[in-house]
Amino acid sequence: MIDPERYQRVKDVVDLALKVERKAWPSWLAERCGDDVEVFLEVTTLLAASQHVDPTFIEGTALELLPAQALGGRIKP
Amino acid sequence: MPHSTQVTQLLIRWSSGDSEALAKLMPLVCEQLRDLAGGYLRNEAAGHTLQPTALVNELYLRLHGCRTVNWKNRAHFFGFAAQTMRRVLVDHARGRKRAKRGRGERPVSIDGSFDLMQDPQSLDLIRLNDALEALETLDPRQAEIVNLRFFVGLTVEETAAVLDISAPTVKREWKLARLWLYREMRGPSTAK
Repeated sequence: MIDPERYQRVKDVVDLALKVERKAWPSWLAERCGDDVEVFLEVTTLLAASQHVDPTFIEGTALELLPAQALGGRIKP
Repeated sequence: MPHSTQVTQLLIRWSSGDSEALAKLMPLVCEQLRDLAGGYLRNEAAGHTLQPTALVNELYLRLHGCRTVNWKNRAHFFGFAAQTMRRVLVDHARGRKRAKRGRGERPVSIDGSFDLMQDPQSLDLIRLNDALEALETLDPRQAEIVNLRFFVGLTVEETAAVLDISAPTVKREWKLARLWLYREMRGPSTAK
């Protein structure tokens, strides 16, 4: 796993990349990440996740996402 | 007045040195969490009545126990609430998983594929907990933001007030943390 200090750099790059047109990412990322392959890999996998992430993923609260039977047993009306 | 507004106002009073605000804050937070559980139960009922089980009872008991703690600040207090919620819910999810295995049922959400997140009900809390533990070592503040938002249900503004950072910072960190956790939960192909 990447170290905490470099993760801060990864976050900065991802945050900026999300404001850049996707088709410009390859050259833009190459310029931003330079020779740092680890940062480049972290950034690209996070950007890939941004293209697939379900909008509902951990939106709401943990209690709302629990199956009904986890919170209560059903009783007939 | 909505609870969230009251909570925010009490947080501001507390941060300004009003020690009485803390005493009023605790029951409000407990009530907010109870409302979350109650609202969920009502939504799920659909013609049935749902009876709170040991999970909800345990949650209340543990949260009421925090009245005796000497709180250092808002972050300490809400951090406790978030950790309590998380521990109770994850322990419960583990118990359910063990019970399913015991009955020979196929566990839910085992492969970590993107599909497992398509249905919010199938979110695997155990995997989320594992990913959050990894994020805590990498970026403790980002993990704390997730704890407060997801396990306590604080808004962006409330989270910002609790952690004494700006709302835009919370939004940015939340957005990036979601991506990081989502990627981690995809499975073994994740870059680490």
